[in-house]
Amino acid sequence: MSKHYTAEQYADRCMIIREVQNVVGKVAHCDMLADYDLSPNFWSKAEDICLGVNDGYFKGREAVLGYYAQKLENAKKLTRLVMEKWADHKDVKGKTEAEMFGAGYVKGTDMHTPIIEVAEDMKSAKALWQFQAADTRVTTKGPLSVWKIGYMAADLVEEDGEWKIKNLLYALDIDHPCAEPWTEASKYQDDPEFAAFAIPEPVPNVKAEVYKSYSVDRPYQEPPRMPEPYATLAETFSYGI
Amino acid sequence: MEWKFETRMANGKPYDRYEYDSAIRMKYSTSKPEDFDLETRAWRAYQVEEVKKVLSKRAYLEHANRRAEALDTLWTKERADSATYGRNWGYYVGLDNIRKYYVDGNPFGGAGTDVCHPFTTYKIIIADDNKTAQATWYSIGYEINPALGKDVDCYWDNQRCGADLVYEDGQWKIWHYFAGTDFAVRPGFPYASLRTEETTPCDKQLEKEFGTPDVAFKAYDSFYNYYFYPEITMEHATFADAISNGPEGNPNYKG
Repeated sequence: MSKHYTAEQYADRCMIIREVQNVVGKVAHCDMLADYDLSPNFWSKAEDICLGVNDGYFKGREAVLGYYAQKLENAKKLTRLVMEKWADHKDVKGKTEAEMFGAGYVKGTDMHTPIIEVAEDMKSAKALWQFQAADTRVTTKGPLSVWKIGYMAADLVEEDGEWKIKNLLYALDIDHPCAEPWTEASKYQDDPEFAAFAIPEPVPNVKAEVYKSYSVDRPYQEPPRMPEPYATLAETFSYGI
Repeated sequence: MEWKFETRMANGKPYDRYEYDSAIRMKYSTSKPEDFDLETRAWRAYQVEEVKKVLSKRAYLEHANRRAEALDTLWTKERADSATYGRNWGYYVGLDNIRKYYVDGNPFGGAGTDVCHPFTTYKIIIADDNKTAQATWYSIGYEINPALGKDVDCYWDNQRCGADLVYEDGQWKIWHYFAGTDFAVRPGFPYASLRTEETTPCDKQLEKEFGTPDVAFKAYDSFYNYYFYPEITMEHATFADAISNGPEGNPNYKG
């Protein structure tokens, strides 16, 4: 049987669920807009924060901030390369890099299927969403849209009256170019004309196989664990390491 | 149907409210938020979050291939005999029959298979009597399973869904679940190239997977625009067969 709360407690818990949705939604929007300079604002000030991706973890504050710093540099580099490649294009000519920031990049992200558990002490929350994103950018294969479909999981804590991310995990289930079957090898190959667009993604400081994106020979894989009702963050599992 | 506008009071201040009065709302509910006391209003607001969680967990457990657990933990026990699971071709009735289709006939779980039917664009209403809840949502999902003569094939499975839930022992449980597939096409297949007389490329696979339901009839059809069922969830005083997400609420049901 679920717990019974007072009207004020129900209202408080609804507000926390809304805040959790908003905070992680803001981080997703920063990713969509390449506004990676804003992303750290939504994280806890603690040193032991953690960001997980399919091939490992960015463990610790320095590593997480480093991740966003490199993502921002990557977005700037992509802007510069697009400006060089299409220097004579009417939309590029005469523009500054700042004016063109984000050129060559569009990433629509839809977060849904929320499972949000607020701790009994209301000082932390755990959440799991599915997301569907079409990541479109200029790549070494040329301009390309790639389905990025998977799960976002988060531990959040209240700090000075605001909800902040302590651990965040992106688990990619589908990572395949759009408009072609995922069960077949992609027809898109590297194109020497776009070789300069090789921009490496940040590398986790803790390498691990956290999640495996789809391939026809992938053993069946469970999504990240669902949040469960809990009393305090110390008494439940963590989405970080 | 018409939009109505009126000024109401909340917390001692006036606020403007637009209200969409549908036939269902007018027929099934005349209550207003202020008809509920503060405790009940807060409880109802929180229960919408609880219903979201149940239907999201259903999606998660399906993706995790833990279907038996989904039936055992998220579905009704008190109304097991009248529980229904509906698709385009009809309904399985009763938890035992649902289990035979949903758990025993589960084609997923092998290497290279995958299934995802997310819970998105939802609308959730708690009945005025607080005993049942209804939800409608859209689900842009995908399935990768042995299909069309291949070891594995993948297709988008875009569904319009509806559910009725009952409040049992302090928890919301799924009573009626319906998923109507609009399109089941391989990624990259242009929807616009389908002629209306054609079935979509993967419909045959879905029909085979669903098998022969207990109550078989054309429960959903997307040949011409969106189907009229499940109807958009509206405020209602109490559950009624006429608005059910089981077969009784389907206009094509001949009972």
